[in-house]
Amino acid sequence: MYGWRARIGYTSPPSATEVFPYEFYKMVPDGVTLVVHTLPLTDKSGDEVDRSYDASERAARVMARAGIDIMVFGGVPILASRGFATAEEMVRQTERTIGKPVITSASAQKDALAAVGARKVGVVQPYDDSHVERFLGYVREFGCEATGCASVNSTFIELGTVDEERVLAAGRQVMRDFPDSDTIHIPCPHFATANVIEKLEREFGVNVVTSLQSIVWNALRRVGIDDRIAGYGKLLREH
Amino acid sequence: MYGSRARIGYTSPPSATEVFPYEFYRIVPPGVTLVLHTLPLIDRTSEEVDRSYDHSIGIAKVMGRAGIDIMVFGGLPIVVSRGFANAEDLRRAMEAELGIPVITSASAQQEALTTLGARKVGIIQPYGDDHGARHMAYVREFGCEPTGVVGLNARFIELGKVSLDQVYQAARALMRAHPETDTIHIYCPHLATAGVTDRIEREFGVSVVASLQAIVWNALRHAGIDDRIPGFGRLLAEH
Repeated sequence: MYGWRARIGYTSPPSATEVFPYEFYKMVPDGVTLVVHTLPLTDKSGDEVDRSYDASERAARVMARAGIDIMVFGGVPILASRGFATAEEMVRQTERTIGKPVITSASAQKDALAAVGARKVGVVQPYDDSHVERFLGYVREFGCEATGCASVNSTFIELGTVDEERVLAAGRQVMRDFPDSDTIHIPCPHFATANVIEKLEREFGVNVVTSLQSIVWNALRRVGIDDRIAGYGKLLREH
Repeated sequence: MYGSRARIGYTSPPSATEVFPYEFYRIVPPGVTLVLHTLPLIDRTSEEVDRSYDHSIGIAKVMGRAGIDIMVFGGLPIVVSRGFANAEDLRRAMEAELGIPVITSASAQQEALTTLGARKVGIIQPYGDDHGARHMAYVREFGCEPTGVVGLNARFIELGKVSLDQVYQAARALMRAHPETDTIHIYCPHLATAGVTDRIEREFGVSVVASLQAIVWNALRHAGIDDRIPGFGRLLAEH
């Protein structure tokens, strides 16, 4: 079987998921596979988020029957919808039920920011400015100081069409507007970010932590795969 | 964006999908992406199949909004659950509604067998022997003569664990029992096949049509991508 080193289960919020499997297979070493379940998010409405929470729990049990080695609950907004503490309890409960390690998009990003020693964090987020406060709140939830944010101005359904140049430009804008940032955080693993990580790290001497990179890193390390992976930032190369 | 040449939408039957994205990204050239939705199939019950049919239609519209270039309805048993003629009607109706090419797992495999000039077709199917007759009927529906069938005795939920060697050994057994076979048809794009297609063609002097290879080939060609791709059988290398 292809996933002889590790089979990583993941609930992917977009009903039409594109970027996650693409970047996942750019990053992981041979022998690691993604076992994916798509959640019913089309426009990111409150009702969709609510249904996705329950669907995630069900999917974890299916994934366990399929024999995965670790489960990743995707979608910070889904996890946050009933409070981070509730999500944490759901994770522990699922871990007991399926007998495998369980991490979440939120716990992976928190661990990643801690691993690189992030303190002052600037954010590049995919949507319009009305989402800025929410993303700054996540950074604080992850134990860091939020310096500021740049928006890519995409919509959820169009995340797959975002050009990486727009992400790079937003990263540069964050560093121009908030030069005291030691880390750029790019939340949401459903738009193209993998190729801008090293460019921004080199150009500004900062850490870049993206959702997808954090999830891949945290999942690999939790299943005991310690390969140092080059090309996608200090996190995967040095930690 | 990653899908600069083509973004291929696909409804993937397994609720926990593993092999399809893995093999897809081994085969396609750069600039082609998969836009994936997982259907609610866990144990392949008829109730799950029935729900998946309607679900597929709803999701095709979401994929259309996400801006895909071609839509693939996955799951032969789902697509033809209301008859092969109905599947073709559905394909045409969705094409008219979405304004992009629409293919199905059935139409892709039909075109692949025709293109290769298949006449006497030996079958490898993933399940127990009780699924043999169904797969023989598919071959006849595609206009070919079935020579015989070998079942891999896997369960739907465990398809990700089937090894390439199991598929190769099944091909050996098939050719020993039915040496008149000119084409081996490996059903189901959710078990590992891409790594043995070439070897089976070389060793036994036959053509191989695997569901995933047929879907990728047909989707690329309908999206106007005519790259000849070596390594995964004559279909992609020569047609």
